[in-house]
Amino acid sequence: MEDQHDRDLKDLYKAARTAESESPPDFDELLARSSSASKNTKNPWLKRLAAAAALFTLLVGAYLVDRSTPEPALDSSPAVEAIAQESSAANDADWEELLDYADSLWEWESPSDFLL
Amino acid sequence: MIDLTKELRQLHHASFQWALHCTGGSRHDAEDALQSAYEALLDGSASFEERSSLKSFLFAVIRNKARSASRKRSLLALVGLDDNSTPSVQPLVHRKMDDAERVAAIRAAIQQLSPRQRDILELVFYHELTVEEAADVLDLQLGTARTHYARAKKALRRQLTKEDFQWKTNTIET
Repeated sequence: MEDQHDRDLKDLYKAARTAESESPPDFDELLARSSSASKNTKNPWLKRLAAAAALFTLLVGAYLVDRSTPEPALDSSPAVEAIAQESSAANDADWEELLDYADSLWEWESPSDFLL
Repeated sequence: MIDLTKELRQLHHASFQWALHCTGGSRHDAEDALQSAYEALLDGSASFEERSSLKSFLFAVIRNKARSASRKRSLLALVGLDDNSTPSVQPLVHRKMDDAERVAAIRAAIQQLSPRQRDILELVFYHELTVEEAADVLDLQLGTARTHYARAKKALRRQLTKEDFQWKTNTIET
């Protein structure tokens, strides 16, 4: 019975839709407009090919630039060692200064100040 | 190799009705969507590889074109650049005036369905697609499409009964 119900419903739907269906625009005219519009746009494959070529050029260029500059020897370079020592010294000095500052703060707030 | 122009000509009437459905009844927007779909098929940006029927493939392209045009119009309306943002739905003209009330009742019942349910009934009931083909057009899983189809039929029957619709046959029970 379900099939019969579906057929009845389908017939009603089709009748209603057919009654309100509109006549389509002229096919040849629409196709001509579509053809002229598609001729104005470039072939999408050409666009994709151009994008791929640009990406390839960019990647190859980046690789060549990277290879042309020698890699620095990080392990044994005196410059790196000097920088490391300098930064270490600077860090020690900073820590000293920070500790002095902290001591001065605690010294000011220490209970001995209230006892004086 | 199919004769694309010949096939499109044969499907032209059905394609336009589907485009009208996808654009909410706007003739102008439907023509634009159909023209864009033909354009995509002609310039190869939508290439038919015969994995499905041409009808379901074309319907999917029309739906996508209508949706992208609708999104574009919404965006333009949002930024206030669209002069034609008011809906251009034309009033329906019924050929048979004695059936007008009947058609109006069905139309009203259809409008109560969800957009997805309306889409699937339009494709299966009016355009005679199978549920599988409709699932392809709507980009849905087959199980999901079957669920929407079953619920759409049930909801349509319920709506028609609610509106005291006079069935021509008494075979439909709710």
